[in-house]
Amino acid sequence: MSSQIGVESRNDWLASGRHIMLRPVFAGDIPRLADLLAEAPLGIEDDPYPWTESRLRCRFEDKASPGLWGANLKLYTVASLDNQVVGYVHEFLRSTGGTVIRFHIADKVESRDTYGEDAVAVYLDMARQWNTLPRVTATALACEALKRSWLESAGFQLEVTCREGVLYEGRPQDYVVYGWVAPWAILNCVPAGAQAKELS
Amino acid sequence: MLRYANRRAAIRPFASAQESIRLREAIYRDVNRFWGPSWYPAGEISTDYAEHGLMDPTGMHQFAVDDRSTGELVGVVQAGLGGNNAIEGWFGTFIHPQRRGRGYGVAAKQLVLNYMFERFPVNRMMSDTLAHHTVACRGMERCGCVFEGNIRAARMAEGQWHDLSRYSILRREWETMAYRHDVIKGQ
Repeated sequence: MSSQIGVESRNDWLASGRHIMLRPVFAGDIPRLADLLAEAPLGIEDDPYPWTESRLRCRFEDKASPGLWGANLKLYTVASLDNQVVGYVHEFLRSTGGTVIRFHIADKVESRDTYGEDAVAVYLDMARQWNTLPRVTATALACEALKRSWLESAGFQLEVTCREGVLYEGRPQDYVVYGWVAPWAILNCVPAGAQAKELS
Repeated sequence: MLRYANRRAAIRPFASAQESIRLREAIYRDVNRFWGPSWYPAGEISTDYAEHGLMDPTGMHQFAVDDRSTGELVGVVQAGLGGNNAIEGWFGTFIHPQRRGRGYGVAAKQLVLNYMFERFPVNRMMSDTLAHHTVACRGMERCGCVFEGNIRAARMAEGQWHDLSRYSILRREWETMAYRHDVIKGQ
């Protein structure tokens, strides 16, 4: 991958690729992020309330967990290399290991495909260097063909198609679960067809 | 009284925090060998019981599972609303180690599916189980659930990663299930 971890050279971004950089959210990003969150088909948290600009700002200024950089709500801004906000990646750390991400790139931005593909690849490249991460899970609507292609080109595999689990544009829609699993976790995984354990 | 029963089991809210704590102590000691570390501390159970009787309207609904004929407490079944605009819910059962293999898990799942579909506007109920746990997979199918795929390396237990199998049932599928007609409510 072309990305590199660059905290040693610039302290306002975490990782960058050929077209985008991932960085923490700045206060100035919030109005744009609110628009992007409203536009995205899948929300970033389980509650159904919309992420208005004021709600985002309130969480950004939360003294206990400031900067939209907490355990349950961690947002990365996806910015073009000229520092225009073009998307976000939401990351949730699972208590059982691994991260779950939801991401969105602005529908109407030029080079959306390029930015999206680079954003997913840069996130995964960054995450796999943590060394202790067994898997990354990503979800998207089944009809979001571009997002699915970005995930697949970054190395994610389709694992589950969840039937009619999301209400979008007034109708239940399928959503898909993609996973990337660290090679060391695959090596230490119980093989399919292993002996059944009687639990219930 | 909130109670759902079929021929094998009955589900009801827990009568006290202590009842839930005692049951979960017995279950977790055994289940963690298969599912990996998970816990629900006694203090948290007490707090939750005082707050909502373990029936959190926006979170997890926990039911005691009794043997229908003897009234003996044999397990816990829990369910809740998921994210995704709240048209999705989830459910799961834990049966006491000494009471497994007697159909309580399937009976409790069928009852809690009735509870969720009747009381909430969910379109789909989903559940995960260990992919190599063929008994549980078969139990899901006996509830009318459809296999949707495997989530790889999702749980760590006894030094190995385990895949999870995801199952779900849609409201229109549940409406065709014969077990709905065996359910007795409120007795």
